[in-house]
Amino acid sequence: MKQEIIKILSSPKLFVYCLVWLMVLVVVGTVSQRDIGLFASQQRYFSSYIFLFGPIPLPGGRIVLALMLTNLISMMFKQNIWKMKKIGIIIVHLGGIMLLFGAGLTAIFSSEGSMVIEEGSRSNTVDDYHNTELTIINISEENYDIYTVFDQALFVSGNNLRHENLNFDITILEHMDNSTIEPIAGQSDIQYRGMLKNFSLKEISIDKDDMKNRPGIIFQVSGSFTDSDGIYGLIFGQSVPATLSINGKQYVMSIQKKKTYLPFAIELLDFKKVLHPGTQVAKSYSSRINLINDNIPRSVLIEMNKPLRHKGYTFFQASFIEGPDGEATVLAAVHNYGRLFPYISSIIMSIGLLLHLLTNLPSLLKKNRK
Amino acid sequence: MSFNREYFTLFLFAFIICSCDENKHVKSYRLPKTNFNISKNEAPKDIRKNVNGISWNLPQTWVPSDGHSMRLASFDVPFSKGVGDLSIVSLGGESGGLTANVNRWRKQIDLDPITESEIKTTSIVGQSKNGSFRLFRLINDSKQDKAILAAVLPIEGTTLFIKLTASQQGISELENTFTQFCSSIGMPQK
Repeated sequence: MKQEIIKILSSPKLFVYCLVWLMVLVVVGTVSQRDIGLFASQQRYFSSYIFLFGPIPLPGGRIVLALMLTNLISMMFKQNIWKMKKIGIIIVHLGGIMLLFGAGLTAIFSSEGSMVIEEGSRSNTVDDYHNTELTIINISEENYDIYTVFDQALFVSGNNLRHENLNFDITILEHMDNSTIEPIAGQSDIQYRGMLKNFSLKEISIDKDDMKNRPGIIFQVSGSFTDSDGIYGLIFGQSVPATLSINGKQYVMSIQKKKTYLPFAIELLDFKKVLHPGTQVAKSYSSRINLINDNIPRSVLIEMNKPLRHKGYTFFQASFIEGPDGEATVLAAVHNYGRLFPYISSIIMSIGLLLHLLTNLPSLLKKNRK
Repeated sequence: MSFNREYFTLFLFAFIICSCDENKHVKSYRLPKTNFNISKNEAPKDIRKNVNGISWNLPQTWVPSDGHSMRLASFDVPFSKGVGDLSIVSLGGESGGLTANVNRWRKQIDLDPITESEIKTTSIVGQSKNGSFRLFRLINDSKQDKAILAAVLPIEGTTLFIKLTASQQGISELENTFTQFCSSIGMPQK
């Protein structure tokens, strides 16, 4: 049985089946975007190992790509491939391996988010578009705040969250992908603390536009043996932060978009927008910024089709916000370690195909003459 | 090259799958102070209760309740889907022995009795201020609505029996708090 599985994993037929399955996933994923939205569809069909189609578990994009990569690498260890006349085939395989390896890097390490900077101010944080995090900030120190941050993937019912910075335990009771708060009639149960004393957190159906979803969690704080032990609720975008006071230390808790801190800062000097004549529709907009690296500023202009690339990050001019106090630019920040892989691997595969054609050309011409 | 190509393939597949990050990170960092507009209240003090010379740190969510004469103290212990009942009973000496008492609790949730050696291997040993205690997690899979967390703590010639009765979910949620409560029990040294 084990031998059979191994043989299947290294069989060239598997690669073809995987390609066909990927095509099916692309069609199904594209069609389902209409109903569940782009992000949910991407997560369900392409970023998953296995997804359920009714009661039937089916392989998701990640497992299929892992199978293809394994299969291609395994092919390179076949004895009969290492021949001069198959040099083109070898190079095409190498290109394929590189392409899939790059896809893996992108899937695992890449991040996409936005950076909102008001005119005259600076920022070095990028807020992820989709992922959130639970942030617990110890604000008791005089000169700094201590942040302890738990990723969204840890919000699983029954999961215990602990860290040496915290003198209490957190147990996740409920996680909601989209939630709303409703006032409660009468008095809440004695175990509730913070917002849950007056409101209840209710799960609602997920919006197709993931940016409109407000994740929420209900969790229990225990082990402090103070008034603060109890059940708390947090919702993304909560206007009043939840607080905890334990043994002389004060904490602020919130759910926020996952933050990435950049090793440099961007200061917005001037934001400009050009409207189509006689309309309020923006024709183009641009941001004049200072890129501050090691306290040395460098002036850069970011325009709609001219992004700034710096230290692996790419900053696109995405949008803007006009408020009574002035304008703010919205930059889309993308960090993708696998950015160059598709270009390089495409070139390698093209060379491989060309070589394969050239090495086989004499025999092809011979056949034609006959 | 065909040495163990198949095994290599299997290893490679496992390696690729295991390399995938699940984004389950816990991070910690310091940043310059931010003003959160929060008034700094005085921190609440530990809640220490003292009954018959025995003291413990009581979690604030636990509410004293009416027990009966046998009980040293009783508490309503809230969890996400209900309220559990916690009792503390103090009896002289070993009061029937460990086996008899644990099997009595097991019977209350329709579990068969077990031997003393089984009792000792299935229990967890904790540390209180006056020595060690044994913690028992008694769950009957066919009885979702009732499960027991119990601790037996010998203290100054008497034995304390601390028992929490709740649903299985309640027991899971409250186990840490219960253990910490038992660890906080003590009697001032003479």
